[in-house]
Amino acid sequence: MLIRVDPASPIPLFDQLAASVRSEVVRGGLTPGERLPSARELAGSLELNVHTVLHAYQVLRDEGLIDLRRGRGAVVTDRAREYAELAAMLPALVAEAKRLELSPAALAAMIREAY
Amino acid sequence: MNDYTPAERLRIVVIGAVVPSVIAAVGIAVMLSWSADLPDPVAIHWNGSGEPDGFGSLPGLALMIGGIAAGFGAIVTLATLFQSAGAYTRTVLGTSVWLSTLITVSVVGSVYMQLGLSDARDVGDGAGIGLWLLAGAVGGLVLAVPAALLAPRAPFFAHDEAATPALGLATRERAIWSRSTAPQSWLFAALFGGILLLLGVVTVALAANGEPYWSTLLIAVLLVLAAVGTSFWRVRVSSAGFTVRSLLGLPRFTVPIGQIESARVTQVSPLGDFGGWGVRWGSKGRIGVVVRSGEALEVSRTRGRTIVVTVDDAESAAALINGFRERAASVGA
Repeated sequence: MLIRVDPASPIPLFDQLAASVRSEVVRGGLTPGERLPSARELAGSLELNVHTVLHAYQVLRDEGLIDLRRGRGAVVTDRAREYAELAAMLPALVAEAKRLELSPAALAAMIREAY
Repeated sequence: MNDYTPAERLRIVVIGAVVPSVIAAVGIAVMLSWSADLPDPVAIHWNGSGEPDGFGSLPGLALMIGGIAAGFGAIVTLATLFQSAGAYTRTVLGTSVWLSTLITVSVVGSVYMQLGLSDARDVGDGAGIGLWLLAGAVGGLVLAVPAALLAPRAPFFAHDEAATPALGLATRERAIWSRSTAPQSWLFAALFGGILLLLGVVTVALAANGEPYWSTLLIAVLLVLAAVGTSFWRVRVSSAGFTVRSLLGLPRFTVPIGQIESARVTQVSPLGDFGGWGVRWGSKGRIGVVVRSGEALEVSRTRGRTIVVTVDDAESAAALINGFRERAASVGA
């Protein structure tokens, strides 16, 4: 599992952390049943506030991507498999957006509109 | 599979399996030819001071010699042929010859000591059995060393010597990589289950005979700890460096980022490159944490030995280590 966050980025840290976990799930670096490091441990090694990590974990739990259980920590759920299928559709979408010279933000806005 | 020629394959089979089996067969034939002049039962087990403390039949003893020599020979030969082997091929094949000689000479010698006796309990006290063991060990070396030298040198994996390209990290970016590693579960279960079953049978047998059995229980507990402690690991990369830590907390290996020369992905053949599984002293002076074959992370240090860990997604780990190294170098420059 490779997790990256950049404090210099305008995106909130908890958001970056959640996105990093999501992309690891898609890449196969995290598989269903695997346990994430404890919030304190992750906060320690990434020099983040524990609440930032907990915030990210809560976002992922609300999404159904991880299970938070007392004593067991954060465990990746079976939904991880479905994420990989969704992710497989993205390259075509991105390629088309690039052909039209749309920025990532514009594509994201279009997706948001479509919801 | 690997790149042995047919002639090399033949040599592996002959040295690993045929020679040890022939040694055992000759020993068995000699031993059985004495059967008229031997007590029945014969002494088959000896205590620490060289007195017999276990008795059994001659054919049983012959079966044991044959079973150990042929069984070990077959395992070693198959493992050598089917593993992509490295530095340990010759050692492993030589060991097969040595073990067969040791068992054959010491057992046949112990039977020779009983020639002409009507009761095996009358066999001498003292050094006799110890001398035969020594003769077996030394004689085994005399045969095993040339056998090992005649064994083919195994082709090494075509190691990709290049360091893995560094992950591009922004100036203030923080990153970690973490992954657990474990043996293929069926292999671990089979090996471990077999050993525990054996210990269980011995324990029950000892208990049934009213003998103390706590020592086998102790061995079982120690084996469980050793097996778990050297089979399940967590590998971590952070800006502080690289850590491999056993599930039990110990053993662990830590390399601070400043002492890492570079990291790369490599392929490991447990038997070939490290002579087995677990924490290993391997070819090219590397330390190995080897729980399975295949993809591994290799971390070379500015001082001390290179560490190799078999772990999935080693590519990301190596890229991150090199990313930290590169960024540190550019900041320092």
